[in-house]
Amino acid sequence: MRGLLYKEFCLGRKNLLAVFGTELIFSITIAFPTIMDKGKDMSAVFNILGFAGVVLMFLIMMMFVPSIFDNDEHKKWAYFICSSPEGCRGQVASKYLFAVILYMIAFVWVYIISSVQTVLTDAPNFSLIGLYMIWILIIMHSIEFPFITRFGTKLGNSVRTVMFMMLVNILLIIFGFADIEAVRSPEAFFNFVEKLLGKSGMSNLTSIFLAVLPFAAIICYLISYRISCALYIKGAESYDK
Amino acid sequence: MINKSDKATAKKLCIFIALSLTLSLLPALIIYFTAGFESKAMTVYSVLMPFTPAASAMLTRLISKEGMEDSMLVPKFSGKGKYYILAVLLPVVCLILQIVIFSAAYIDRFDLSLRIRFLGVTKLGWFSTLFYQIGIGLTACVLMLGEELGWQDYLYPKMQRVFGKPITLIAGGIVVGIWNIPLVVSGQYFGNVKDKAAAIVLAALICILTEAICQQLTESSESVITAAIFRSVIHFSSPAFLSLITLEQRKITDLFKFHAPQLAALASVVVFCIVFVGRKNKLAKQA
Repeated sequence: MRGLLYKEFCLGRKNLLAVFGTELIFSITIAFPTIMDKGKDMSAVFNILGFAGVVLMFLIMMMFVPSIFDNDEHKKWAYFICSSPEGCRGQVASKYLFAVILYMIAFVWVYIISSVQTVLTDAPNFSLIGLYMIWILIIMHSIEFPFITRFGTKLGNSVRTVMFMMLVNILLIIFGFADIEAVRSPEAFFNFVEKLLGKSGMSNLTSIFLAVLPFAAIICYLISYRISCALYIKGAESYDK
Repeated sequence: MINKSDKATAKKLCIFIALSLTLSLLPALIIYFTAGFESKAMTVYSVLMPFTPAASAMLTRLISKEGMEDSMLVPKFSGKGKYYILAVLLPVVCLILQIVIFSAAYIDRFDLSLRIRFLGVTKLGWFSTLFYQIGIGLTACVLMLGEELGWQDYLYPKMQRVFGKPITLIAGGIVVGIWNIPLVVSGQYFGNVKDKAAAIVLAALICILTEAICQQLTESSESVITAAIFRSVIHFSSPAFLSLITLEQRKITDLFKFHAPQLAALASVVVFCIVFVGRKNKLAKQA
């Protein structure tokens, strides 16, 4: 497993560079309260900017994390690794683990910037938003990764696009027709963001949803890993030489 | 008679301990004599300080050219899944024990429903907050790797090779306690206490017990991730549990009396780990 992870780091240099690049760019929006420091009048706007910065950063990472499967879409490699002591389980596990490692690197970065900023400017700590995004993205990848394992990255990308569009459509329908307090006015949305950042009390429904989310993410990821292990060899047969 | 390999290991230990204590104490001293412990510089330093043991371990590995071969950073799940579950359950058990011992010692009658109502939340709200905080602890365990890569991945295995397990558990905890001195003295650990010396001793005791549990989990699972999960879950879920006894805790001014239930709970979990977790590991290795 150690060797396979080392291989992922070596072959996935582009992914790592993309992760660091994204983090650096969005660090500016996350650190806006420190950079601008215009006083309490602008604090709600800076909260939204920081919130949006973290969300966008993780959404962009979601786009290129699945490309870690690209490197090993070769029949010869697939048959070789399945015959090794690691087996197809080790191969699939290294991919799943590497995806989590990429998100964890991003989370640690957001945590350090946010925590230092919270000390310097009393801005909220945006690392909680990072955690929420990791949980949601892990659930989305749990659906996507078995498709990538069985049918390759091209179809996996299509699945991800379809899933994302479905999620956006569902959210638009909910926000359009349901009377949700958070979208009634900009002030209501600011209050909702403050609740997510832990600055004020959450409703029971939100806290139950956030309580269940991490455990659901772990269980979904484990089930997805099992499914991918079962589908790996079949998927390998459709690879190029 | 110490053999050659033990001498080499002892040298590496000295380098690591010197580096980790320097990275911890030197910036704290500079801040103390320039801006003071109440300044924002100290708070910024306390955010970055937990990553110094990992930095010291990496530097020591670079200086001694030993590489990462004996590192236990990579998780091992096959046959070790139960230790990851234990890493989540043990902090919960520890905190429940702490409340039970505290209640038995200092409270006439403990009613869980009443206490949750005193907090101004519903039972469902309290339980969902608890699970939410455990979930945060589970996911944010990567933050604790900054310490565990130093203590459990480097210090403890090497100390065990040179001094054996019993001395390692005590001496290792003392090193971690000394590393924590800036946080204790600046009030980040126990708040502003008058008797700093007693606070340092208490911090060392807590470190000895906590690191003993982490060491047992690391040894059994062959990965520092379990130790990181244990520390993270106990750190993030303790507010939900300890909110049940805050009212009574505020009335206790004596530092050792305040933390005695915590020490007793940790000690019980250490005994459990040594007797059951360690024993299972030994039997598995013999088989």
